[in-house]
Amino acid sequence: MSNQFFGQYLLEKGLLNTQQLLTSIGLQKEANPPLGELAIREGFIDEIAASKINAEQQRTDMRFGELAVSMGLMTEEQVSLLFHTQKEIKKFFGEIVVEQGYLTESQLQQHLDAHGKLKKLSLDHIDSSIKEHIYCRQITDTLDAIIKNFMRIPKIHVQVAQVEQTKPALLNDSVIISQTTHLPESVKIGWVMQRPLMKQLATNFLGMDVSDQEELYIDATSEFLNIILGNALASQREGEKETRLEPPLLELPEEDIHRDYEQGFYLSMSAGQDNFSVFFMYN
Amino acid sequence: MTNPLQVLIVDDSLSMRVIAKSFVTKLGHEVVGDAADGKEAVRKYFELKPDVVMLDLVMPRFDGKKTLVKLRELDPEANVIICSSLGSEGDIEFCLTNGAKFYLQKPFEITGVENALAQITRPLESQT
Repeated sequence: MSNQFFGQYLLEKGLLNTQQLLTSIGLQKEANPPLGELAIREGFIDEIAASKINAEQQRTDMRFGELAVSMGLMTEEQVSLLFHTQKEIKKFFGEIVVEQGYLTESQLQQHLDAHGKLKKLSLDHIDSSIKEHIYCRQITDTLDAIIKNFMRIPKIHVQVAQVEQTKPALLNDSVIISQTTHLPESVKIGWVMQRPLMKQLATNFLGMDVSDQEELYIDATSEFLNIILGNALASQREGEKETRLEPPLLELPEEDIHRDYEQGFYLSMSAGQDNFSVFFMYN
Repeated sequence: MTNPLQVLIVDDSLSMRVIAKSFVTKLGHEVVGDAADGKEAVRKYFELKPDVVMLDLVMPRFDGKKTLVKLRELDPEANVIICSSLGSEGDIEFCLTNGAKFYLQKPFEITGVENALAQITRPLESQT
């Protein structure tokens, strides 16, 4: 699963212990300073200016460098010099692990291949309205995590069909589950899924037939959504921005979807013979 | 197989408690109890005195990070394995520096649970 942090993958495989993982994370942070820290180090701005930019960044979706230029605190040349420096000193997690002698080069290559086996979702297949969306990154990471986790856990092949411009009619015998992620602003993501698909998903997920245990199959489906969003968040690595997840909310009232639909959209997806929708709302 | 461990499972999701219980039992350990939130987990920890707690992070009311800190504050020897769908470097670093013995990212597999539990040694075993 390539949206899993590589260090976590190595820990679970027993190739790193927790102390080695912590050391490597620390070294990686040192080798990959945020642009603001680098700007202070180079003497382009002071700490007060950096915190002004950081504060502004919480309110917009702009990157540190763009904001610094638009606020007149740095020149474009300075920002591009910082990008260049950042690139020069950047180290990948795998390099650090080899430098520390935790893995050999060939072990690293072997595990990078295994870890990256599933490619990231290509934006080519994504509707242009998503490409331009301010939460494009969050949305595509989530779609990516949906597809991978469907394949990995319930062994169901899923395809993104299209972005629905109008709210699709609720399918008979479907259940709605939602979950909120707190990115810079809240994004609520939910399923509208038919019961037979839910039963199949839960049965494969739990490894036992739960089609007559409603509480269990609904819970398993919501936990599955929780896993998807957790995995999607993990792939975003936006260290400076606080992200958190709220526990899934079962059976979101339908009127809530109507109310929030002005600020959201649906994606139709198909899994085998079944169709289901994923809706994204934000506020 | 080393000495079986007594495990407390903490997760707000019923299905994850079912999965974790089935893995722990298959590996020859014993599930002594479960809890659906952090407050209940802390209470049950002192009531059941398990060897290890498998702890979810995203939970209502008292979440897993607060529970980890609380457990380690009340019992610095507490063995905690994090089981979470979250898996950013920041989450992992927070939990490991706050004393978690292992971090499992959901969806976990039985080999992951086996590796995690292998980190825990029963106090009795280390004395013999």
